[in-house]
Amino acid sequence: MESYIVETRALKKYYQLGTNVVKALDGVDFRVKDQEFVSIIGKSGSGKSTLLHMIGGLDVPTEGETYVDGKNLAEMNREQLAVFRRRKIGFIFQNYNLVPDLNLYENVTLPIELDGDCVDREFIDEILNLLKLQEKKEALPSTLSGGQQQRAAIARAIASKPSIILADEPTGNLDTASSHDVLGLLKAVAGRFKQTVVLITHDQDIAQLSDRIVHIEDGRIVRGSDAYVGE
Amino acid sequence: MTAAACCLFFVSVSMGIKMWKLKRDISSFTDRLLRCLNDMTCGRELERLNEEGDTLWDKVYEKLQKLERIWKRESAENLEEKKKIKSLISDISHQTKTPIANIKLYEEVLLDEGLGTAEAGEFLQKVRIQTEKLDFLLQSMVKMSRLETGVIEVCCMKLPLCGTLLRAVAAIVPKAEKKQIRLSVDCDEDIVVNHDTKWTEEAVFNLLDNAVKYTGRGGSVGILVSVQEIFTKISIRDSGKGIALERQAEIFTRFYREPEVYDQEGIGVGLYLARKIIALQDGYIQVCSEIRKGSDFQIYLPNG
Repeated sequence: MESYIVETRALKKYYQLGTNVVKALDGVDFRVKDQEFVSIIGKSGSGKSTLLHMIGGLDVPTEGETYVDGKNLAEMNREQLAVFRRRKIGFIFQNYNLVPDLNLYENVTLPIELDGDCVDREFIDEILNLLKLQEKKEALPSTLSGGQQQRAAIARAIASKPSIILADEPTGNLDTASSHDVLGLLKAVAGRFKQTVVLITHDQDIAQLSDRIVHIEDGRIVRGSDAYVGE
Repeated sequence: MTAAACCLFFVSVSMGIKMWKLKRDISSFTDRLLRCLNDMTCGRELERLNEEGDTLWDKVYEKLQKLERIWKRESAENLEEKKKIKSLISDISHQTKTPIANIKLYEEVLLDEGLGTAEAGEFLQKVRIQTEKLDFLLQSMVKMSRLETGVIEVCCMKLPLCGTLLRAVAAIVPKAEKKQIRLSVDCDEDIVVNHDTKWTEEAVFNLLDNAVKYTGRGGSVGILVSVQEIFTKISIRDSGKGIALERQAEIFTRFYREPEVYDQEGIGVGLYLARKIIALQDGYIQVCSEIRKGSDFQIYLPNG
């Protein structure tokens, strides 16, 4: 039987908005294979971010189940979820969320130190090298360009060697050329360290980089729901 | 006096209990660790424990699980790859039998002295076709052997990209000429990229080979190089039949063949190899294509 690193079963998320019920997710069956690079593409309000939040354990579904790495997220308490997010998932957001008072290197190693793990310096250097940030190690985030800040955020997400990287419109604040470069690096680095990536975007050109594109509309997957058979 | 003695007594008792607990914890930690390591060395499944806590054991266990998964995945992948390679090799070796038998046959006819020059020429032509078939099959074998893990070892050097591209183009010229396909290269001679010339040439050649294969007679294939902030982009654009969106990711998988060209020569490893070669140099390949409008394969290699 095929095993998936991410699997959602009939996932639903309804919000009560006044007298209306908003269906952010309406029965989503979504599967991702280990080491796959999947893009979820859809307009704003289509439910793509909600889906990502469910996979990352940042939100609780109204109905349905989410399995990540074989674990049912619904069975975890808050504390377990926090540990799960810290160890298994690397997040990349649109607003890089770097700590302004820490330099680039400290920002990258922060999640590892928070987990009480020892920092694998050789690994961090390798990542920074790949992401072309080696010379900016000591720089404060405010002195970096947008592309560099997002690359630093990618380095931070990868540094703790998570099983999955979840990226929510990571290039929303970048121009087209930098966007392509930054995501190219994400693809190259994730491939190198055998990581799974789920990327959210509204840009077809960016989605083109991935192994598979999933289209979501009005809380439902309309195309590309299943992983390819074969490789 | 008695109070002090009492105090001392309590302190030493509580210390004793603490020490005992510590000892118990350490021994249970090592016990569990050893059990897990035993499971792993014997190839058994790790016992499923809850590891969502934040204790030292939870952290170690989580890493053990990760290691177990990596091992399992690698061994499964190797097994699958071996199976496929085995069946393809047996397939190819089987296919070599026919041309060899044919060549032998034509040879016998040719050795028959009663043959006129025109007839002999015809048979020689037939021999040539069979030899070409053999050549193709053997080349496929060589490509297959490269799929074995570890065969591709890149050695990057800062060299002009232009030379590498031109060598790849030179190798495709005969095939392109046969189909009257126009080839063009647009690359600034000053562009220097840290790359492995031999393997990059192979990757570019595979993409060109692919482009020529799927482009009709009288079409065009062009290479365009541009330098971006981080990557240098080598775009190989053809005027061929294009690739359906849903197939665009699949084409890079091993042994993938477009369903409608099963009769054409090829074993379906060219693009897979190209992607592997580029990934080993920390770059990536992307394809943009539309049905009937041609395809644009883009290789991205890191600058510098």
